[in-house]
Formats: sequence, C-alpha cells, structure tokens
Amino acid sequence: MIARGSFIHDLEAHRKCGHLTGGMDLICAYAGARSYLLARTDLYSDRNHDFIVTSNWPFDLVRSFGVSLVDSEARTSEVRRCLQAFEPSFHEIDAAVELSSEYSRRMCLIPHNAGQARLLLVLLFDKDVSLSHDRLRDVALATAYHTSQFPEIVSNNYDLSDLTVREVECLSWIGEGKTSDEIALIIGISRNTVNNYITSIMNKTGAKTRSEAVAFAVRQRII
Amino acid sequence: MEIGEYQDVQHLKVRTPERSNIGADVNAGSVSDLFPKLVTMQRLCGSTAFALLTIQAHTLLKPGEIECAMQSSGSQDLVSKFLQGNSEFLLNHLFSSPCPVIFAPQSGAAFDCSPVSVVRAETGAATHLAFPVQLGTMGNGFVVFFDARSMLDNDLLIDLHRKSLTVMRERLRLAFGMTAGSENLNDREIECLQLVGNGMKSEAIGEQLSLSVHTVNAYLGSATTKLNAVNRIQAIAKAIRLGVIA
Repeated sequence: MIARGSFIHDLEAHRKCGHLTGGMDLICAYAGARSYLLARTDLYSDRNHDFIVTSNWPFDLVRSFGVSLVDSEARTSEVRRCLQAFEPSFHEIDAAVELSSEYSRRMCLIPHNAGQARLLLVLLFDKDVSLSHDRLRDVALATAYHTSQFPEIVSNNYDLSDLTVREVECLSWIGEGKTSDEIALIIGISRNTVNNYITSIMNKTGAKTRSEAVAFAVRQRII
Repeated sequence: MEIGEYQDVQHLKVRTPERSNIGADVNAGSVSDLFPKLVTMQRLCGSTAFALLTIQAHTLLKPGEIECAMQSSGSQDLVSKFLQGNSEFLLNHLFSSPCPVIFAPQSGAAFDCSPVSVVRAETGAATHLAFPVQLGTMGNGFVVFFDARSMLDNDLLIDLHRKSLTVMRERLRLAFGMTAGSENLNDREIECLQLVGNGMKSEAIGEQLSLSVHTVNAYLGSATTKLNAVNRIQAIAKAIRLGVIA
C-alpha cells in the first residue's frame, strides 16, 4: 500500500517531468484500480474523440463504452453534477458491455473539476479486489491536482474574444427575456441593427436559434 | 448520495474519535450545523480563525464576486483585511487550479508540500491556508484557515481539502433544499427545455419525442411560468444558471 503523503509527493514528480500517463498509472495504483479513462465531459461531442484525455483501456472499449459513459455524464443536470463533484460513485457495468473476465463488473466514476475543465475519471478494477472508498476520495483530488498542471488539458478551448461589446450587451438583454423591439429601445439603436447583431452572434457561436445562442452564452459564462 | 453521506460520518469518526459526536451531524438541517465541522478542521491545522468564502463566477459583463458566507466569531477584521488584499488572486486561482494555497510570510520556512501554491506576502507574519472548492456552476469558493500553526504536510493538506469539499457540498445541498422551485419542473418540461437550448425548433423536438408541436410548446410554456421567466429564452438562461439543464 502506498502512503498518502508519499503518493502526492511522487505524483508531483511525474508532473515535473511532464508525464501525464505516468501520473495516471500512479493514481491507478494508489486507488487499487487496474485501468483508467479520463475524459472532459464539457467537450463531449459525437463527432470526434478529442474529449478523451487519456486512457489505458483497449481502444474498442473507449470508443463504445467510454464514449457512452461520458455522454451520460455530460447530460447530467448541473445541480446533480455539482453535488456529485469529487465524490466517487460505484456502478455495475451493463451486461452488454464486453469486458475481459479478469475485470470486476463494478466500476468507479469520479466526476471532478480542474481549472475550466469538467472531468470524469472512470476506474476499472480486478475481480475480487477490495476497494477503499477513503482512498478513492483522495484520488478525486489528486487527479484534479495532477491534470491541472497540464494547461493543454484544462484550458478553455473556446475563443470568446470575437464577440463585440455590443453583441454581448444584446445577448445579455435577450437572456433577460427582452424582445428585439425592447432592446432597441433600451440601448437606443434601431430594431434592424439589433437583429443584425443577433444574426452576427448566431454566426459566431454557430447557433441555429436565438435560444441556442443564449444557452451557449450562459454555459460559457459570457452573460 | 446517501451512501456517500454515511461514509462521511465513518470517515470523521475514524479520524477524530474523541469528537465523534461532531461527525454525526452530517445530515445537517441548517447551515449553522456546518460550524462544528469547520471548528474541527481549524483545530487540525492549529489555526486561530476560519472563513468560508463563496464565489460567483465572473462573466464578460460583470466581474466575479467573492463573499464571506461563514466565519469564526470575532474574525471579521481579519477576513475583510484578507479579502481586501487577495480577492483578485483567489478569484483567478479558483478557476485555474484546484491546488490549495498557502499564504506565508516573506521570510518564513520553506514548505515540503506540493502541488500547493505558496504566496509570499510582503507584510504579516502568519501562515494562512486556503482550500479552493469548485463544484461546478454552483458551490464554488474557498475554505480559509488563518494563522495555521500545525506542521503542514501533504497528508494534512489533502485531509483538510477533502473536508472542505464536504462542507461546501453540504452547504450547496442545504441551499438547494430551500429553493426547490425549479425542481417542480417535470421530466418532459426539462427534456423540452434542454432540446431548445441545444438549438432545436419545436417541430424537431416534437418529432424526436413523438409529441405534437403544440404539446411541446405547452411544456415550454409551463416551464417558463414555473421558472418565473417572461419568455422561452429567459427560461433557458434561468434553467442553465439554476442547473436544471446543461
């Protein structure tokens, strides 16, 4: 068994060498887990796999099972997410998932946050291994410490600087439930100008509707 | 969730057997019940005062806000002085790193702990500890201990950090119990709101959920009323801020 103090110490050594996976292996060992998957739930997309940060699972397992786990985590309501952050939870792996018989069918999910990133750590265990809930809580924090040292993982990938002040102003009024006419009156420009701003916002954020543009802005903490 | 709470009790009992009655209050009924927990933590690091700071994330329109939600008695001056000098740093730190912060005097001892950030203050001779907690959209802030005199090592720091997380989570849970209005939204309403937020039109939502457009609009209308919003768009903004939808 690795002691907690020296675990954090060794983890720091991996960070200094820039070893993301080395540190993850250590985290795995400390947790008594066999393999890990680390993904960003806030970057989840069904088009590519960029949201998977690192994993030592077989690729097929990541592509099928891993992606579905991140998908369901990304759909979790924010309230529940906040209450569960940094809290390990155990789940039975669905019988339909093909997993080598050496693995236990119980997995551990640890949602956590570091910097701008919303992360999910999934741990798989050997059969008949005894788990320490206490250690898994350490793991939640240790993983956050470790990943936060790699800026490329926890940075925000959205470029917000291309929205102008006026556009943000319009957007925030829309978010308050104002119509184009009302906004025109409030900030003293014509209705068509307001609509132009809104069209431009939708172009820049890639939103199809006003609702989506507002949702995007709230999620990205613009308004 | 309940299992987690139970283990919290266990954990506190194991670590502080002489004060096990404190840990028994995990299902705290009010925010003041969190006080004993903070006091226990304060003793662990030999500190003279504590404060629980909550942080509203910044947006492009308004800067972040930092507020003192709880503090040990008689520490008002200490806390306001601390906030005056360090607010900006704390705000930046919370959204860039989960690592604990040590505020140490300029000419103090070196710390054999990592990956903590050590901030050397120009003035003052005391060591303060700040544990960042970022639960998500809500429940963000710091638990701060002033003038910590215990030997600081990684073991103690991670222990206090874990307890800080528990306290902030408990606080959020209590805060949420009091404003359960948005929880009255039913599954269909939440589902429809979520899809509108994803940029779908009512027609498309109706098709996906096998409902008529009118039913979808009715759900969105009732959701708007329940969220006390003037229209659909404001309802989405409110729902995301409340965390009802992602």
